[in-house]
Amino acid sequence: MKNKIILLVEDNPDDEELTLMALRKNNILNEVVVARDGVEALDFLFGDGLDSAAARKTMPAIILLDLKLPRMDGHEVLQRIRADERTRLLPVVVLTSSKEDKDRFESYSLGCNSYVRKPVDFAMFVEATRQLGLYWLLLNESPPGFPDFT
Amino acid sequence: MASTGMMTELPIQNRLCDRLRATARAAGALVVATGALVLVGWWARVELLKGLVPGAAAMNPVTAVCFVMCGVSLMSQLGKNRGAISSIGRWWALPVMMVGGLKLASHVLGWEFAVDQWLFAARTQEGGGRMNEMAPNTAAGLVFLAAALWFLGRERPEAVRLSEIFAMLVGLIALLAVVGYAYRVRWLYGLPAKMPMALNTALTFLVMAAGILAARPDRGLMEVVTGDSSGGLLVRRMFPAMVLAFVVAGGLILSGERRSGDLEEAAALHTVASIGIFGGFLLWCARSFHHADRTRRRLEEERERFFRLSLDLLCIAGTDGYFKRVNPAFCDVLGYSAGELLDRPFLELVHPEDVAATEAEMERLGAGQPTLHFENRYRCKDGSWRWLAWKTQPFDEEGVLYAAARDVTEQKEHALAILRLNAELMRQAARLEGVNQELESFSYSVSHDLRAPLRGISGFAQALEEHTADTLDPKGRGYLERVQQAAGRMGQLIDDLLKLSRLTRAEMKMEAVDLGRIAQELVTGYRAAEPERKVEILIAPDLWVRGDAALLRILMDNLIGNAWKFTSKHPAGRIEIGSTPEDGGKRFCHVRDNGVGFDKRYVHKLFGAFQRLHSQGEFPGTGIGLATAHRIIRRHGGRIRAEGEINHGATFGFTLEAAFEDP
Repeated sequence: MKNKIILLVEDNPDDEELTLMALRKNNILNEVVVARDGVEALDFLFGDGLDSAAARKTMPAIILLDLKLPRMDGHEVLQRIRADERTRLLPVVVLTSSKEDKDRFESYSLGCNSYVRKPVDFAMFVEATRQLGLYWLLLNESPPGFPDFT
Repeated sequence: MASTGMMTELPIQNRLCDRLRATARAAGALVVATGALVLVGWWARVELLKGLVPGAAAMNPVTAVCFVMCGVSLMSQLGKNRGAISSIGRWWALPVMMVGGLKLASHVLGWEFAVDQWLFAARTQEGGGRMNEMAPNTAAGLVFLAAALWFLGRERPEAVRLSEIFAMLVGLIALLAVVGYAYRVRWLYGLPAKMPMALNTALTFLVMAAGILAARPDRGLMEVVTGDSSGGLLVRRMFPAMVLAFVVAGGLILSGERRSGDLEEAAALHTVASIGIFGGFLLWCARSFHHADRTRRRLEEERERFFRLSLDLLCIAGTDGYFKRVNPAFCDVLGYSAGELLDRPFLELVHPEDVAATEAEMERLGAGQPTLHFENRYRCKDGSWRWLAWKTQPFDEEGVLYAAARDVTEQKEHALAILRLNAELMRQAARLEGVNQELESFSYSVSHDLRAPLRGISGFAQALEEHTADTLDPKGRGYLERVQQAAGRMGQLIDDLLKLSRLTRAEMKMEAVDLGRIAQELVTGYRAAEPERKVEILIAPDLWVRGDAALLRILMDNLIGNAWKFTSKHPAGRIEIGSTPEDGGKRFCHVRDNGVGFDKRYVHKLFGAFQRLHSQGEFPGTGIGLATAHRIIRRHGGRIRAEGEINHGATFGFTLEAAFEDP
């Protein structure tokens, strides 16, 4: 479990901090790579920079994707991920503030694996994070070939 | 249209014309037969066939041949089709003209040019010492007859007139002879030194003249005779009367004188008979004219009354651009006197913008095309403009237009008002569309951006609490807890607010919905959530309404949920859901409970968003339930109202369009 990394795509530092806090609280100690907008996220997944999936020779086990992002929004990121052979099967959980019909429809249409709305109440947020970690990192079996970069 | 109308108006005249043409054809046939019989008579020496009176003059065989040709000419000029005149038949008249002309010339100039001896020469020489020859008046008659037949087939009015004049000359010559025979006046039917005209020749001339006149009953003078005018009536009645009167009177005078030799007595009888017969016919005609005039005047008055009564503007206008006559409605609508309207070209009254179109329309009318619909504006005396819609029929021969116009100003104004309103409506719709879009993006941004900071507040308050667990006193912890609670509550409020705005934006799909069934499902849910509660719930059958199923479910959830909530402290809670039909295909539904009710004084606040009449501690909620219900009913075009009293329950009633279960 430890070698599975999490890609958190989140522009709000508060939310980033809270998410990391919630993960720690739940003893999820996997490495979390934070991308602060869509472009950074794609750079990590497809780029060949120092800190990239290619350099690490591993793909994230799970991507936690916010929708409202500067430069390139979550929906476009999701679309690019699904369009690329390397990341086509990667589990993506949309983790965002809104539960607008429009957002949910679009996310599922583009092929997200799950849609979770961040609760305002921190205790509930911690609980949601716990369940997410439990499910996606422990219970769920990755698609063949993941997370190792083959 | 107009021409068929004219045709149907004159069926009697048409029948008369048809009969006359048939008569003409019969006359031609009779003449041919007579000529042939005379020739047979000559050949077989039958005196009766040659001349009607044995011993008297017989018809010359050449004359007989001429008559046969004339008869053929007449018949062949009358085509088989009604009214058609063939011009080929007139060539038959040429030989007749030549024979007659030659004989006449020989009589006048004393030539011995015996055209009339070409046939049966031997036999014409025998008989009572005198040879049979063509009489001078017969020769003249044949010339005129040939001329009449020659002109019969021509279309030009002068030719028709000439044909009729020659035919009448022939008739006159023949009549002279016939009367001469009747009164035994020798010089009337033959010049003293010459052979007289035979009786059968005279009669045949008469028949021929009548036949030619009857051949074209709708042209020339005959048009008057056969016409439905008073003139036609006069001729048709008086001509036979005149003939009869003169013949009888002449006979009387003659017989009187012959019997008694008394000229005075004969003249007296003649006078009395003429006056009597003529007077009688005159009175008869006068009576007919009198009636006809009266009828005509009455019809004119009727038309005149309608003309004056019409609400539409009626006028007769000249192609010179002036009104010739206008009806009172014209004056009423436009405000001018009739004189003012007739005194100037009507184009002066037409709106400058409509002048070109009006002139174009006048040109079309000038070309004989009627106007079925044309609109232009006319200036009234007070300077205002009225829209007139015209229907106009030109009558070329008279150089006038008959026109009826209707004042359509109000319709025009209404149409313009509707157009304006429509444009206004479109603008409103566009504006609403804009507002809606704005609302959409507003709530989208609220949904994303307004909640994120709350999460920060809540999360970091929690973090702070944990971080300072050792140093913070209970009061400080309490404050932090309240910060978290406040953040949580604000999150809830934002969610509710979004829910409410989503109600207004959601697309509605109207269908028949059973509220009773929805209520039943909801109640099952409440009972499952709180199995320990004992509430009596009555749901009436047949609660079918028309609406959006999803919205109506939210409505019922709010109303029944409220009832469920506010009866929670009642030992024997009771909720009734029922309806009564209303006029106009509506249904009045209600949800009644016996719970804590509400203070009537605040009923107006009940349906406002985030308005609550109970404390959060007493009954939880954010206060959007009834606002939601109100919005849903309003979107369905219905009304909602509340009745209640503290501790005596509440009733929420609403109207929706009634529906019936789909079979």
